[in-house]
Amino acid sequence: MKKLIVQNEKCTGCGICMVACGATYFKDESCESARLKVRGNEEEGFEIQTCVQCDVCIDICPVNALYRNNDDVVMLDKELCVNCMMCVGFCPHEVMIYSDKCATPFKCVLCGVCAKNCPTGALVLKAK
Amino acid sequence: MLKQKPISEFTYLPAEIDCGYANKIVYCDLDRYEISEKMLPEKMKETFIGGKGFGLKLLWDAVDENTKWDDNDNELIITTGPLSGLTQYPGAGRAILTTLSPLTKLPVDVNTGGYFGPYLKFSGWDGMEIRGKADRDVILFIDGNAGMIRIIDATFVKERDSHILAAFLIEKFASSDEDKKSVAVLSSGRGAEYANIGTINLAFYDAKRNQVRLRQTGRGGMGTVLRNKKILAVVVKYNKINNALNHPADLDTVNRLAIKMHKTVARLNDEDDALRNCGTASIVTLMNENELLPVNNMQYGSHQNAKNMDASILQKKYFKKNMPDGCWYGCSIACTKVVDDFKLKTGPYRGKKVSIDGPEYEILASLGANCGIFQLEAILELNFYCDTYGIDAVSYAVVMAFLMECYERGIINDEFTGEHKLNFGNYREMLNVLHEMAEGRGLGLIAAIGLEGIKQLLIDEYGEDVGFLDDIAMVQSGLEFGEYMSKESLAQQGSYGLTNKGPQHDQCWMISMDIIQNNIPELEDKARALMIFPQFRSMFGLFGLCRLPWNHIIPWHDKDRLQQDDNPIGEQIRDYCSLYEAVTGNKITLEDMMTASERVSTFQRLFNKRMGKGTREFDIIPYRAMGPVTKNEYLHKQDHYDAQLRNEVRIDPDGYGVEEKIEFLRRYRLQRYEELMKAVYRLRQWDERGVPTKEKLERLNLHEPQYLAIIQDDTKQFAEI
Repeated sequence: MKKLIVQNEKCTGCGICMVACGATYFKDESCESARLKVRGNEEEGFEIQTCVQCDVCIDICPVNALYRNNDDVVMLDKELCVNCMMCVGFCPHEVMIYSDKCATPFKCVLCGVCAKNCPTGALVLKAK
Repeated sequence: MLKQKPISEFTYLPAEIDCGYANKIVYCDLDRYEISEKMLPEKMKETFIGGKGFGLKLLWDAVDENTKWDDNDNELIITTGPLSGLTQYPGAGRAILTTLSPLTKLPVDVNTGGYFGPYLKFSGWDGMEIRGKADRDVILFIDGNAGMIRIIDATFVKERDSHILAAFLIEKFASSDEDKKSVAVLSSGRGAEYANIGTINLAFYDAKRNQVRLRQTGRGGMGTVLRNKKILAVVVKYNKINNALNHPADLDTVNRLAIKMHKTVARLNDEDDALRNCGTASIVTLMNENELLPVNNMQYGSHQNAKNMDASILQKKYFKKNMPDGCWYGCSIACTKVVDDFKLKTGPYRGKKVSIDGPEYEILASLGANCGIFQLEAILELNFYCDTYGIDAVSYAVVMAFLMECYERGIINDEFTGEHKLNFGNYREMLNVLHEMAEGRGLGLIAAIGLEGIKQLLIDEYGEDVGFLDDIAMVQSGLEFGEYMSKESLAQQGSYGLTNKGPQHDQCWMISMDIIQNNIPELEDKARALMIFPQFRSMFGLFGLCRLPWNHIIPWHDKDRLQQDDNPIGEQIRDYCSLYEAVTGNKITLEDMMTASERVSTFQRLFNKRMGKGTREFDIIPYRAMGPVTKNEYLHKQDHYDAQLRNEVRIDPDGYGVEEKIEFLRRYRLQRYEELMKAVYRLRQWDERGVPTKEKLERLNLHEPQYLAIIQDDTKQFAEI
């Protein structure tokens, strides 16, 4: 069982986490295809938005393509997915991602690459 | 899979969809048990776009002015539009069915959700034309992945009613439980074998609920035509669904527009999002509060017991799983609701627990309030049996409301009703007659004729008062009325009267704009709305989309927002143009879209004219849709009517009795309707007889000799008169 601990107060908005995420899955460092988003600015502070493993996308999926794995991580079964995009529209944190680089939506699977690259410790992957 | 040897089989190489079109139509002749394919001409796409446009054009080419609904030449046509089948955009699971109606004798088209339309298209067909009649019950089966169509002898199938027939066929044609969602079934029920008011159910397997669900085609007697052709069911199977099967010109833009729409829906608050929570049932209380809910054969517009049908009760007590129930992938609006584990108390399935699709607003208004019934349990039972018997619930209810009024007024007696005590509110008798209809006996067999036929029966056989029955029989052009009280809404009267397929609100729904929002106070405003909305709303049927996402995203009760310059109507309509362009690759402006829609509406009016209607005299509606027929109706809203006489008719009501006041009001309201008709005709470019002018046909590129002949013929007849 894993959990991504987010400490916004430590975030400097460097965006390295997004670059690392995009590069890992799509060889894309533009941040658009990153599975977490850093929003905000230096004056008002930064907020890291990442999947909190809630049930909203699971509930809305019409084909049961979204499910929890043994680590309690919400996963997408690409075989079942019909690309309806409702999970993208309904995700309250806007971290179910659509990109034209991938037919199906995608999301954080708690791989930890963002935490590993975070220079300030704002993101930490912990075993529950 | 069924083991029966097919009567005939057709194999084909499934066409790859190109920018929303398969570019092929499958043609099935049941007289000869032959199946063949037709190419879809480019000109047909340019002129008629798809869906409803294709259906009407194919039917036009198949029949002539003498074809009757039960002739072999009449076709049942199922078409899709270029946007049908998008899994990512709300409301794209549409099939449009077209045929000559047994009720109106005119072309009727219905736009229905479910999986059938998308699977038909993914199987390589923009549409399916079925002519002729089989000599025994048959099932048409399309395997879209294998490229095979079979006509199968169905005489071995015992199931007749949609809820068990669809479940049986999905089980038979699916290769596994997981495969059930790949099978869609179009069928009717045993009632449609006797009734002119038969409807068709489109069934699909909801993977989320693990159950079969039904969507109804509704109005016009589609199910009657299906069973007249001896078609037990049409089954289409297709698996491996995704959002790119339409091969849109610009998939990325389609996806982004879809996500934008989903985000909008996700952020609606509970009040705005009533459709998602309760379906269209959410407006029952609003209609009742505004005296727009038909009660007792449209005599009254509200009832104190309507609170028993409030959507919150449905939500708490009956929608047990309380989840958004879309009828196709990607529909975040999810207006279709499901009543779970409903235990039936009557009929052949008494004691069984079933699911019921709905009830929607028009079900509650028709089977409920308009028949004086306010018990949800009774309405749900009626709803279930109408659906599974393949009976159009609204038509059935309008027929019964009329018979109830006739019974209470002594126009028909116990001998006529077969001892059924048809008082308003008697739901037990309402169910009894429905079961009789399914068995083809008793009063059920009379109700099965449809309201126009029953009215004529009472006049011809029983010598009843023509005038009074014309006033209170809520039927026009042969079709029973939709379920909004139009007495106080001139615009809604026009919505019902000035349509192509009879008094329903597919093309125009003015009740909210006219009465609740009061946005179109002057006669010219109403006429303009009656010009614009039918044009615009037809677009959804051409594209192969549901209209509700558009209706829904407009916060129609939020007047302030509508008055903003950058209101969401404009933006959303622009998005529909962008969506069409992203799928088809064809640039379209709002004006182009309106013109295309107007062209098909006009073509349908021409079609009506060709079939012997489509002129002024058929645009008249029964007086009860316009004003109070009886003393009680007048007295129910006496202050309101008196005020109208005083302020608008310039008559002092104090000096007259009720009957005289009814007559004054009647003259005034008929005159207002007449003025509205004239104004609408002028704006629609119709001549004084209600026929589109030559200039209009030329403007819309409907100038082929065969179309011009329809109006020229009329001019000649008019000159002779």
